[in-house]
Amino acid sequence: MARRAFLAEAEPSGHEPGVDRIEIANICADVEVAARLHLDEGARVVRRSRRYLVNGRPVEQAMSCIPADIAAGTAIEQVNTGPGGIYARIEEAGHTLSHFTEEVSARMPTPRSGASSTWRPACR
Amino acid sequence: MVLVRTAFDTQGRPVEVCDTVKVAFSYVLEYRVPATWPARRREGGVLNRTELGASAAPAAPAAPAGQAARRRSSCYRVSYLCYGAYGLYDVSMTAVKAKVTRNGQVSLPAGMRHRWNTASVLVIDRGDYAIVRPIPDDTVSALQGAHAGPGPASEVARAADRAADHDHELRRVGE
Repeated sequence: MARRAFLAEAEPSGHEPGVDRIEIANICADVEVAARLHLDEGARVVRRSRRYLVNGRPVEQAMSCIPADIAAGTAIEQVNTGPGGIYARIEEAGHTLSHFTEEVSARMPTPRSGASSTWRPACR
Repeated sequence: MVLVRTAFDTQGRPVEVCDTVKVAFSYVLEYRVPATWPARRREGGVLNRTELGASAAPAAPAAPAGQAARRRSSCYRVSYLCYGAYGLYDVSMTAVKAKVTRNGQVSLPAGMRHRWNTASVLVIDRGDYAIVRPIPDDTVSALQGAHAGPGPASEVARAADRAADHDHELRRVGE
């Protein structure tokens, strides 16, 4: 979920939203990312990761990968991506968005995520 | 909840993949109707919103800034109401701590027992957690209409089951 959408939906519910740990890196795509982006393994992608909080508690972690030939040199590589976020920047790069697919699943937190100690629902 | 979103441009090229892990007591995913079940299945049996008919949705009334965001918003909307409106949606999400007696007995909360109105439950061992489901006294009557209306094709349901079993096995062996 885009940062603005997160803030817009969390605030009316009476909770204080936040975003931290915004990290941007130009990396080599791993197998899964490369497959999803129809790239060769090891191709360069710009990775944006961030953590969303509600009332100071982490509730969501997101990581976006955009092919470097689209994102490199644009505001996608900046912390503040500007009006419209990365999707607007992608369209400015000549890639008009057509559709999205979302795969939704559920699982228990993994030990790697440290979920048991840091991830909790925001309120009861 | 894990959500993997892929954005495609008009040429069909994937231009972004976003892997999101969310935590909350419940999430409300809003879809527009009429929804249709997918004609095809995805690898692993995982369905996505487009396949569930969400892409045929009319524009949402409140769109985030930006043309791309507006277009995206017209396809679906994820609501975070669950953060605050816990009482609205949490009937099936309430977690209750119960002690296990020396001989293995567990007491269910009275409210739950009354709502279920049943004398027996099914305990499903999922490895690192268990599911407790009520068993209706009259099982046949309780099943009437349970699957009324459109549903997934059997091959989709089987694929989803296989994927769930696979995930469960991975969890069980600690991978």
